[in-house]
Amino acid sequence: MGTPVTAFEYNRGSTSRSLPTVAEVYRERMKALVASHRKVKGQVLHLSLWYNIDDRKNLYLLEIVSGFPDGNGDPELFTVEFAGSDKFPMIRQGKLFLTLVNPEEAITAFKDSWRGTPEIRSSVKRGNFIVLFQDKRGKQLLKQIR
Amino acid sequence: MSKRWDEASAYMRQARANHALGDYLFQYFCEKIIDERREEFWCHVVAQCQQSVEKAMKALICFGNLDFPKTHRADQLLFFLLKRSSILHFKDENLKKLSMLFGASEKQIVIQLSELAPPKDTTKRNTEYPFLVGKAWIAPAAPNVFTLTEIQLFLKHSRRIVYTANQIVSATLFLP
Repeated sequence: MGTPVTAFEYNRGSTSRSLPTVAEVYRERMKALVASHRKVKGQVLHLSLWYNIDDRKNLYLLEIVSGFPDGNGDPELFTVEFAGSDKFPMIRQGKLFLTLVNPEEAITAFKDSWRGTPEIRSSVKRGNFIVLFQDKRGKQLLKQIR
Repeated sequence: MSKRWDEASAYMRQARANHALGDYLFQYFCEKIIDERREEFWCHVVAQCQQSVEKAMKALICFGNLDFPKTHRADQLLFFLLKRSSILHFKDENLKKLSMLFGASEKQIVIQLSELAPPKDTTKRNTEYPFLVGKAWIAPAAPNVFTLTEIQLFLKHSRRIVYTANQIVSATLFLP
């Protein structure tokens, strides 16, 4: 079993009052989204990392999932953009940038600095992230990202 | 989730398997077989690229809950898909990815691969049956029927198509 989503940690070392608005607005919805991802059939979520949490408009979520298909051979993380829906509205015309990768590819991607990895690593180094979910493997993967 | 998710997943799996076989044949025979004979296997590599792209198209069509036309030609499936993209259950954002996936070079590759499928016309180069060039019958496995550059291009782009399509379909499970 992994860390329950209710017990996620704030890594900015600050109180909720100083959290950026986007994190305040979306916190519950992001927790619910990640909780739903843990139920996806045939895929195992290891790490759900909300990075660039100080962004005023967009949401950036990296998820490392066993069972997610390999990439097409290009050294680039696979990211889909989501502009919002009735169920998950976005403020200020922002977008959800959802990056999905399986653990094996995640290791290669961060080791070889694929496109999309430097900004995640930099955000993590600055403590500008929230771990929404991690299991044992997810913890190890996060260490590798750092 | 798509009503035909299981069917789409099965097609996608088969597409990946076809591509993996093509890739394996290429790697194996390029390394193990003496130069004069390795080209004998290239028509089979192309055939696997063709099969993988056809099945990836069918997977996307199934995923959109559509019945695919009765054809094995990947280009016809592609154009069928592109004409009906608005009724596919993809989010706009994924459509953007799809349009990138089927950019000019990928479209061209799909057309070229479809042209190489076994034809009724006996004068057309293809991956399976002997064809006539002038008065001479040529086997697809004969030397110089396919070039190394061509094979590499087919493998690269069919991989792009199959794996990106697979990721797009899987990603829809994670969108809000």
